Amino acid sequence: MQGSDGRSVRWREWMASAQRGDSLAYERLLEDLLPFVRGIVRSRLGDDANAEDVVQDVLLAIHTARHTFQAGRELEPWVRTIARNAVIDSVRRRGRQRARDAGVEVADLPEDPGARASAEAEPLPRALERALEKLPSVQREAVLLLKVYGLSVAEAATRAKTTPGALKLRAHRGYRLLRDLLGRERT
Amino acid sequence: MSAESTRELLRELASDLTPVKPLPRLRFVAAAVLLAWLAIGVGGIALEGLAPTFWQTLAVPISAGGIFVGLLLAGLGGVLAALALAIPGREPLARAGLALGGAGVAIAAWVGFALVADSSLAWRLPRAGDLPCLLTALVISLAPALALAWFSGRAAPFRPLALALAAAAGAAALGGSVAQACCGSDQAMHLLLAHALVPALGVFVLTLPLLVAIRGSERSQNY
Repeated sequence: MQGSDGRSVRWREWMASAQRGDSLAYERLLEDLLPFVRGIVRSRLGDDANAEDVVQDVLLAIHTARHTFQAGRELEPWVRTIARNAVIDSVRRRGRQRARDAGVEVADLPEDPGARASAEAEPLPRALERALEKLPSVQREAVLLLKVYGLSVAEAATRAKTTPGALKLRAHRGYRLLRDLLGRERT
Repeated sequence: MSAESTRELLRELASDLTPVKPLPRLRFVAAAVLLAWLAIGVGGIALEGLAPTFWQTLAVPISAGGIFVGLLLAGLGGVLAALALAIPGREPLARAGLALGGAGVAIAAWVGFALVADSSLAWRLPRAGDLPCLLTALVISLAPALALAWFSGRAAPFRPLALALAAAAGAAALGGSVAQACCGSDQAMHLLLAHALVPALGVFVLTLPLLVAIRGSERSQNY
């Protein structure tokens, strides 16, 4: 009980420091939170291969939502809600993916492998272009610099006038949104 | 993805850290939303005038006063729930708000239906005579609805649809309570259609725009 109370106080203090920009306190907080987050994710997903992916989503969500933590309140329920939503989002996303995959299997794919290849290959660039246009500009820029122009993270960050960490985050969020947009496009 | 890439991400997040301004406490935001509603409501009452029987009906449960109290509770509960649904970890407050708001909606609807059941009026659809009260309610509901959308867009809504529904019903109920306070009609069918069921109208009219606004803010978060 003492340990749990001590942990709660420590986490709250680290998060308050992180909100003021203390990156050392933030790194300690995230490292300390990692087993807690993994525990929540694995308790819901088990040994799912995507569990670590969801853990990373939770860390990104914590980073994005850190301004919503209110000093003096407990951090655990805040993290638990974020983690639970990341798990729900992941399950829904994979459900949609499975439904799409099932749809593709039974739907009218061309019999001829050549025709099938061109049917799959041709609409993709247009769909991708449309999806890219829908991304927020900073995410589009990150995806293009890394995946289309093939720059390294450091080069892309310099070009985008940001830090490598921020660029990777933008790209990560861009990929996720692209996947959703392309999924919707195909259904 | 591997545990090592998770550690790498963790280090990147820490190195990328910038100071953030924490959101204001929910009680202050709730007070601001309600003040916005009060300011416009008082203005509306100053323009339209309070219904002559307003204070008397407050003492009679099955009357316009009962509908007013129901709408007020629905509005307060809806606002509370919507704000709490925008902040992770505030589920208990969200549940309390939803319970209060749900009770308010139920009271308003129950009083409205009871009034119609007690009268000998035939059932009818809303007509032109109901429109001024419905429009007043919707216009006044815009201020709390916009304030809730603004706050939600800056927070981290974890149930956007539930939030939009609570905000829509709550804001419409707040607008409806002002319209009810100004309306001097004692016609049971008017009280039901133009007042007691206003939260349902709010859900139909405001939920989608609120949801689009919340989703739009989420998508435009830059990084």
